[in-house]
Amino acid sequence: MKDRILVDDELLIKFFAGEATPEEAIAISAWIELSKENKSIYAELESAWHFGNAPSTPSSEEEWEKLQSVLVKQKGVTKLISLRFSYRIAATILLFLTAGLVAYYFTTPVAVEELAHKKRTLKEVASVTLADGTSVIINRNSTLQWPQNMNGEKREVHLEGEAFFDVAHNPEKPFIVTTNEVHVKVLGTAFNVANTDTATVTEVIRGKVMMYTENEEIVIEAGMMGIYNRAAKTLQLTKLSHQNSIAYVTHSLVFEGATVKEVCLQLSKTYGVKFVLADKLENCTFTSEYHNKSLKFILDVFTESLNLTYEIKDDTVYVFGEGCL
Amino acid sequence: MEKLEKGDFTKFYKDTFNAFFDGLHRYAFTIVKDKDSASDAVQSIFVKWWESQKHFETYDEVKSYLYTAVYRHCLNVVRNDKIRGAHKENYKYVMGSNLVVQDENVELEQLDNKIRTSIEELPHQCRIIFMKSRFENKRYSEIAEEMNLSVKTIEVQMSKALKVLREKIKGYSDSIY
Repeated sequence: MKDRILVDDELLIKFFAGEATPEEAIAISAWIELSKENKSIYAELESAWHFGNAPSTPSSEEEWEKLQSVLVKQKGVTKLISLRFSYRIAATILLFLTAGLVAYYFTTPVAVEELAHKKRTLKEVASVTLADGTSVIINRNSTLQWPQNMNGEKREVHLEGEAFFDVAHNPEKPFIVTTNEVHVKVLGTAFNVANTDTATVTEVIRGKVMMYTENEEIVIEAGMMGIYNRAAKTLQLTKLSHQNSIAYVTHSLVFEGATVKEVCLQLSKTYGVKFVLADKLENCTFTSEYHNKSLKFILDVFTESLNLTYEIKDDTVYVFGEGCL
Repeated sequence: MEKLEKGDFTKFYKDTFNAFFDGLHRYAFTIVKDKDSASDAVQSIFVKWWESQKHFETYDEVKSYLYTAVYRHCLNVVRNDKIRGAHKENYKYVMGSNLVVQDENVELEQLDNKIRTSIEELPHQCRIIFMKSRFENKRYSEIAEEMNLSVKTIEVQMSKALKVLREKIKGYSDSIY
């Protein structure tokens, strides 16, 4: 046996700060399970670390489901698949008995297909074409999950983060983008869905979509955007003023009297770089349009016209200047 | 020590997931500071284990394997700065046309006055250290280097800060309920 690790306040705080070694983390997990008193000491400190708003742990059942959907598409997982499908076999056993047999699985479209594919982007924008011909451009730091064949009654995909959808027309099978709380349903159109910590934003470029939650629904036409506010749990309709937010798809940017911060924030989002700005640039504004231009080109024009200089180190752009009147 | 039977890997795999998920997620969260990234970390560790079909003799071995793997994975994630970049982006990106950049201390501004005052009341050095760890997600070693202090000093100051906060926040929640 190794030396036992003493779990005290100091170690717990180290743990919250992300400094605990695996051995210490194991000791803390064991210590928490040891008594109710320990549990409440832990909860109190955790709450203090999060200023009264400690995050909840996701349910291990849901996470297990998620894990399986990832494993399903990998080789050599027959055992696990059989586990996963056992409940469905139980549910259809009556069918087997009466209608007698096998072809069921292969011929009957399932109501909701397994989300067998998963694409997760980090620093690069990625594009995928789904089995029904729908094309999706997935922005950085996002995850899209979708079924293999798209032969369910509905074409349902799951999105975390942001993606642009150009949906293949098929009025028989609605195309639905689900996020954690809010869903977007379409028949055939082009639109962008973006999830942030505070909101889900759907911008419609072509056609018409419906955005809905358990309690509410709104119809968004081309040129409009729908916003789901996570805190208030409400849906709201607003006019789309420009399409900069989908510049990762269109490679077009329009700035009209934008502040330096706004420009840099947009460039950071479109090109996946970070910006560090000099203090004095608040009053500078900028008006210009770019189509299919590189980041370097835009930065050259932008800094030249405001009399600024810039430097790129790794993926960070440093902008210097004396400010504007 | 409990020996594990060879054989039904699938069942063992599932049982292990159920038994350790909460603890592993809690641990991953402390490093990556984000619920989804913590989930992803645990998921990818389990995927790797599934792929390797690695066999363990005892539960202690499995535990140690998983916690170590989560630790390495999370450190890598943080090192690549993916999380921090994505995090800041989330705070800064405020819906479509209505772009707003918020200050670095946005979290602090959003905090309740009481908590803010408690932080402001901390002794100077203690407050700086706490802010660097809590809001800038800096590692103890980074803070120690920046401030020319030992890691042990950082540990002590952090613990001091949190004990003060615990009392304040305890009093605060007691007064609500």
